[in-house]
Amino acid sequence: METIQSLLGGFAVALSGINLLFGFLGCLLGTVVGVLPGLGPAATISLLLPVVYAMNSPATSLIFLAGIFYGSMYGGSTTSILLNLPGEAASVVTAIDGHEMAKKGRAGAALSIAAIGSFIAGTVGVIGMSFIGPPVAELALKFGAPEYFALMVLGLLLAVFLTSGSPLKGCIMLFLGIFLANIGIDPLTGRERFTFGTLELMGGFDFVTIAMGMFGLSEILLTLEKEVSSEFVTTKIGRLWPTAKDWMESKWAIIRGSIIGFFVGVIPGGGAVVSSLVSYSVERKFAKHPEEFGKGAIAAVAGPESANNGASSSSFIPLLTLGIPCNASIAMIYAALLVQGITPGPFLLNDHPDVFWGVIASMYIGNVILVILNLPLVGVWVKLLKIPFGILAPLIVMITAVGCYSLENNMFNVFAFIGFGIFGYIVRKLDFEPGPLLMAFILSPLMENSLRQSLMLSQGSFSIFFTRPISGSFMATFFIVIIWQFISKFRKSRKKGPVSFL
Amino acid sequence: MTKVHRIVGIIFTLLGLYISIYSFTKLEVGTITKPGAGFFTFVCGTGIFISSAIWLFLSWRKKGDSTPFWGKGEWINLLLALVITFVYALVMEPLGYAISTALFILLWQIVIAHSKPLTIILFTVLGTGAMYFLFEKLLSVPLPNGLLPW
Repeated sequence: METIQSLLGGFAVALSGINLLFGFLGCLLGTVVGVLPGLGPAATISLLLPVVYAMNSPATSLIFLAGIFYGSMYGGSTTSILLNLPGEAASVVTAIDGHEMAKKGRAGAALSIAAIGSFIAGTVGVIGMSFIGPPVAELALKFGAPEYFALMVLGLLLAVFLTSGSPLKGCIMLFLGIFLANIGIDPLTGRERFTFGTLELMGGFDFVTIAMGMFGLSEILLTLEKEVSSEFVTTKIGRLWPTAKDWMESKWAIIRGSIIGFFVGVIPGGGAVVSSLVSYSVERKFAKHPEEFGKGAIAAVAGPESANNGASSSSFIPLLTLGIPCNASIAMIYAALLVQGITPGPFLLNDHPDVFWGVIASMYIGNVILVILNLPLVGVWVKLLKIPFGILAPLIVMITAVGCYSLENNMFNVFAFIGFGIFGYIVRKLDFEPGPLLMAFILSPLMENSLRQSLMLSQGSFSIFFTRPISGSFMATFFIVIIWQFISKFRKSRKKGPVSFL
Repeated sequence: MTKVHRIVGIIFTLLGLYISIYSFTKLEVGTITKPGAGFFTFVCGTGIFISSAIWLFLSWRKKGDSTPFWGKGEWINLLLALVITFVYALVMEPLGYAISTALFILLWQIVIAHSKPLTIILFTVLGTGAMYFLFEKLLSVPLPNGLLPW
C-alpha cells in the first residue's frame, strides 16, 4: 500500500509540466539515437551531460536521461528490421530475423511485435522496480564499508566478464579507470598524485571529459572510417498489426524475454546486449521449429526486443538503491545526479523520494509515449537516415567540445577530450570495451574510501571482507565467478581446442 | 592486427610498471592498516602491469592474424577530422566562439563532407547560430568572445 501511495506521488512529479516535457524529449531523442547508426545511448547521454548540468532539478534531469536510455532501445529495432543496420548494440540480435521478415514483406509485423514486446517488458521492468527497489534500498542501509567494498568489487568483476569478450582486456580497462580517477589531490592526505605540477590536473580529470571522449568522439571517428552510406529503405513495411498466428508464436517469447531482461539487467555488466543474446538462445531452445531461426522467426524478434527493454528498466535498480551503476550509460546518469548534489544509493529513497518515485513513474508514462512514437511514426524515423553524417558529425563534435569547455571555462578539458577520443578510438578498434573504465572511474573514490575504512576497522586484516555475512557472500560470489570462468574456458578448450583469453 | 596488439600491449605494460614504481617511490604507499596516498595507484599500476603482460605474452604467441589496423584510405577522413578538431580547440579562445565554430563547420564541410556550396553556407551560418543560442542564451554558458565583442 505504501509503495502504491509513493508511486502516486511519483506520478504527480512525472506529470508536472516540465517533467512531462523533458520525459517526452528524452523518449524522442532516445528513439532518434536508437535509429541513427553510429550514435548509441551512452554517446548521446555523454553529449547531453553539460545540458543536464544546467538544469536545476535532479528529478527532471534524471527523467530526461532515463528517457534517452530506454527510448534508444525502442528506436534501435527500426533500422535493424528495415535495413539490417542495428542503430545500437542491443538490436544486433533483432536484425538477424527481423530483417529476414522484412525481406518477406512482413516488416510491419516485426516492427509492431518489437514495439509491443518492448512496451510489455518495459512495463514489467518498471513494476518490478517499483516493488523490489524499496526493500533492496532498505537492505542496503545495513551495509557498512566492507559490504560496499565487496559489492563494488563484485560489480566491477561482473562488468569485466559480461561486457567484454576478453577478461584480460576488461581488467586493463578497469585498472586504467581506477588509475585515472586517482589523478589529482588525495582527499585524505592532501598529496598530489600524478599531477606533475600541472594546475589543471590537481582537480583530476572530469568524468564528462572522459565519457565524451571515449564514447562521443571515438564513436564519430569509428563511423567516419566506415563512411556510413545514406542508404534509404526500399523495403515495404506491409501490414502493421500482427496476425493471430504471430501472437501465438510471440506471446511466450515476450513473457520470457521480459523476465530474462529484468534479471539480467540488474546484474552489473549484464544490460541490454547480454539479455538480448540470452533471450535469443533461450527462444531457440523453446522453439518448435528452431530451424526457422535466422530465416525470419517472429519469436526471435519478440524475445530479444522484450529482453533489452526489460533490462534497460531494471538496470536502474542497482543505481537508485545501491548506488552502483550497471553499465556505461547508467554510470553517466550517476555522474549527472552527483553534479546535481544527489548521491545515488540507499538514502535516495528517503532523502529524495520525488527523484526516486518520479523517475519510476516517468518510465510508465515513457513506455506509453514510446509505443505511440514508434509504431505510427515508423516512416518518419526511417527518413532520419537521410541526414548525411557529414552534417551530424561536426554538430556532435561541436556540442561535445563546447560542453567540455563549459565545465570549467578552460581549454584543458577540450584537449583532454580530444586525447580521450583518440585513446577511445584505438582501444575500441582493438576490441577493448570502454564500459568498465567508466564504471571503475566513477566507483573508484567510493571503493578507495570503503577499503581504507574497512582496513582501519579491522586493523589491517582483510578477513573483515570474509567474516561479515553480507560482504562474505559477495566475496564468495566473486570467487565463484572467477572459478566458473576458468572452468568454462577449460571445458571449451577441451572440446574445441585452445580458447583465447585475448 | 597482431602487430598493433603487441605495440599497445607493450605500452600498457610499461605504463603499469611506471605507475607502480612512481607510486612506490614518489608517493607514500603506507601500510595495510594505514594505506597512504599511493596505495590505490600502486595496486592499479600492478594490476595494469600484470594484465597487460599476460595479454602481451598471449598476443605474441598468437599467429596468423594479419588484418591491418586501417583498411585502404580509412585513416584519411579520420586524420582530417582530428586535425580540424584540434585546430578548433586551439583557436577557440583567441578567435572567439563564433568565428572558430564557423571556421570549424566550413572546414569540415569542405574537406570531409564535400558538401555543396549552398549546404556549406547554410550549415555554417545556421549551425554556428544554433549552437551559440543553445549554449550562450539557453544554457547561460559563457563562451569565449575572442576578436568579437559578443
